Amino acid sequence: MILETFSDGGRLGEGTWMVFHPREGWNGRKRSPWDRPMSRRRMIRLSASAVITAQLLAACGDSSSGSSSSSAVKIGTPEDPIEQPLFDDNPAIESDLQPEDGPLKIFNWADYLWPRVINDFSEEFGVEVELTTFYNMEEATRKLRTGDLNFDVFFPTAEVLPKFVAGKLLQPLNHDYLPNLSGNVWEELQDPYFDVGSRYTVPYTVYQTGIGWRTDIVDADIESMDNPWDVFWDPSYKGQVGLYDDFRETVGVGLYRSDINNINTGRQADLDKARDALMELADLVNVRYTIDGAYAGMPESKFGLHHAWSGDVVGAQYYFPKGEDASVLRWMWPPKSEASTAGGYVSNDSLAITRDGENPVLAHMFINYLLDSKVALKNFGWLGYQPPLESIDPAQLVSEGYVPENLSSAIIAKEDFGLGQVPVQLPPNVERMWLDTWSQVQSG
Amino acid sequence: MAGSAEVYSRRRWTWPAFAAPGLIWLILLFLVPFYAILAVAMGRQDPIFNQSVPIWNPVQWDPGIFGEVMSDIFSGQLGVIFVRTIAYVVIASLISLLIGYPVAYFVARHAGKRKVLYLVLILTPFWVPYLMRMLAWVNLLGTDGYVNDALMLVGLLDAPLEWLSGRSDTVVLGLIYGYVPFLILPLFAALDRIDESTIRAARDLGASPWQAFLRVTLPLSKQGTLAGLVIIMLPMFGDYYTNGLLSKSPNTRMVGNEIVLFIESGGGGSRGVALTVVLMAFVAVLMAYYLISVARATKESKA
Repeated sequence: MILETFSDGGRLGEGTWMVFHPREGWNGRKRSPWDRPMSRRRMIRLSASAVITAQLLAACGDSSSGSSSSSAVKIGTPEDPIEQPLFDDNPAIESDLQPEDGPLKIFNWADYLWPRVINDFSEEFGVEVELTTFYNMEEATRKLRTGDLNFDVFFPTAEVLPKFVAGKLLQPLNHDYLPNLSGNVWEELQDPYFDVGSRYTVPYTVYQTGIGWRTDIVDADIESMDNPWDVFWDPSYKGQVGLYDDFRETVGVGLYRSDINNINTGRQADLDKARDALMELADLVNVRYTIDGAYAGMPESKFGLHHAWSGDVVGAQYYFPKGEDASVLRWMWPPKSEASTAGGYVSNDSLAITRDGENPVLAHMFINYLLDSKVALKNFGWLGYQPPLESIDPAQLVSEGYVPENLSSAIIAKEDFGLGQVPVQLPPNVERMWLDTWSQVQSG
Repeated sequence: MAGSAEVYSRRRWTWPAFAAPGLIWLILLFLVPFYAILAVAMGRQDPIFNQSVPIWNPVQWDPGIFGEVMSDIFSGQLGVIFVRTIAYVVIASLISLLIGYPVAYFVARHAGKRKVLYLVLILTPFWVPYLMRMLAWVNLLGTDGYVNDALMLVGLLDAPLEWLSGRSDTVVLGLIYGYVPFLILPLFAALDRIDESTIRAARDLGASPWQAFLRVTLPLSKQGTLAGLVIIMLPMFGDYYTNGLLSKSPNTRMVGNEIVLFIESGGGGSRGVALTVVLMAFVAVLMAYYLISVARATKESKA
């Protein structure tokens, strides 16, 4: 039984799901903004709470907190990758155990997994699956910390992992149950900088942050600009411009505009430049900060130019009004452009198993299931965010219709991970500076 | 005698006991949550998760966060937002009153047998959820929406206006539309209660209809007007979704949006909560004025 599901799941016959998108299947009804599909990227950034550093622990010297020692919190960076610590009182499960009877409890971002995939797992393994969703990592963290909800599978991000490990909310993975990890996942992501050796996480999807636009509204040659981000400051697109309502991502755009490619900067001078740049936008182009502008706003002509996650533009094709052509949509990722020296995010989202879960074996099986090529591809057709699997050939994604030709730039290649920037958790005082900057930008 | 003492003591407790449900409600649903809010605002940050954690013992509370928020209001970026929010709320409330008063007056005094019908008609749109109604406005106000079509048809506009591109008037319009029925209801109740003979007496004594309205109806409906204004102004001050749906521009940002920003971002939780408390204190001033004026009116009517 699935607690939260979409009734159309069963309507789509095998073989049709590739061309017949489930969202289209809802009688072409467009989704409302509060459904916020694909919105979870925004939520991640909003809640990109900084992980605590040793300095803060030393500074507050709070022994009453009952938390583990500062040495437990390990933040890796691409320059300095890190193995997450293991704890004696939080071991991985033994190998060769029998799966539990369930029900398997999944705790996921809203609209971040095709309910049909859950249904299939449920039928194939004969267990009940319960899905609970959240919109915001803050909320998810608070719920997990209560310790009585017993979720099994959770979807952390690279930025929250260190504190989740240090706070012992996750259990280490036993790779014996995950043959698809070593067999199918991109090798680079089997050893990510934030969790070397995939001790606690395996990758679920990859994403990049770039620029999306409609060719019928924007005629600038964005791909050959020295700094493609400058296009947001072009007054000829006044009223057409949107950026994400997200303090990490969007202050980042202010930094790129100022030719600063360090998106984890702790320098006030950098942030001031970003703030000044972004504050110009309010009157220069009537900028609006949205969650849904990229995947829903552009198809509906509310925006001609929007800050966009790769998965959002791939999903946008399903939001065009009937009879309108999605081929006007374009997307580019500045770090990949030959002409540009500007930056852009590239990162991945993860799967993990919570410590309180009562079905750890089943949870491992579910994670392994999601790393299966067929399942992952099916899920991608609904989700728009790409699974980093060896067996999935980028060319195939276009030829089989998962990604339209005009958006082939939104397909992520392994090599891209060396080109772009990764967001790393900020120390609390730095996060505060970022929030302040964002608050000033938003005050207009 | 023992018997009469018993009766006396029973009487002494019977009537105050009726206050118990209200008191329990007040304690459970207001005082306890409010205490929790203060405990979070002046609490600490969890060192691992960097989330705001309440401190339950008031002795350990650190009120420094309020100083930070106040200085942001008086010399930082929050000042603009506060002034803007107050301006929006005041303008929206006054226009709501201009719309709501005649409507309530008509229904109370001139609707006759159809009074109930009119009231139901006023309330019917509000069976639809707020978000749904705002989304309807998003479509109506779109560049190719009916509002532009209608305005161009009657010649008020030459070219379609971009209502949704972050305009203050659009946000104020949304606020008015969202809250005006909550003003009409208490106003109607107040106007409906006015004894018509008082107005007839004024007319008999030579007052023109206009004078009778100004000197009898208006003063007698003052309590209802204030109640209605308080009812709509309080939620308007904390409103964030109207702005979120109809504008999304930094030029129309309200205090509610700022609170959401800080509460949804881990490290800023206590700041968001402190801002909520400051907003509550501000709103409490309005509430106090209302309560004082009610108390005064009650005293006058008794005298």
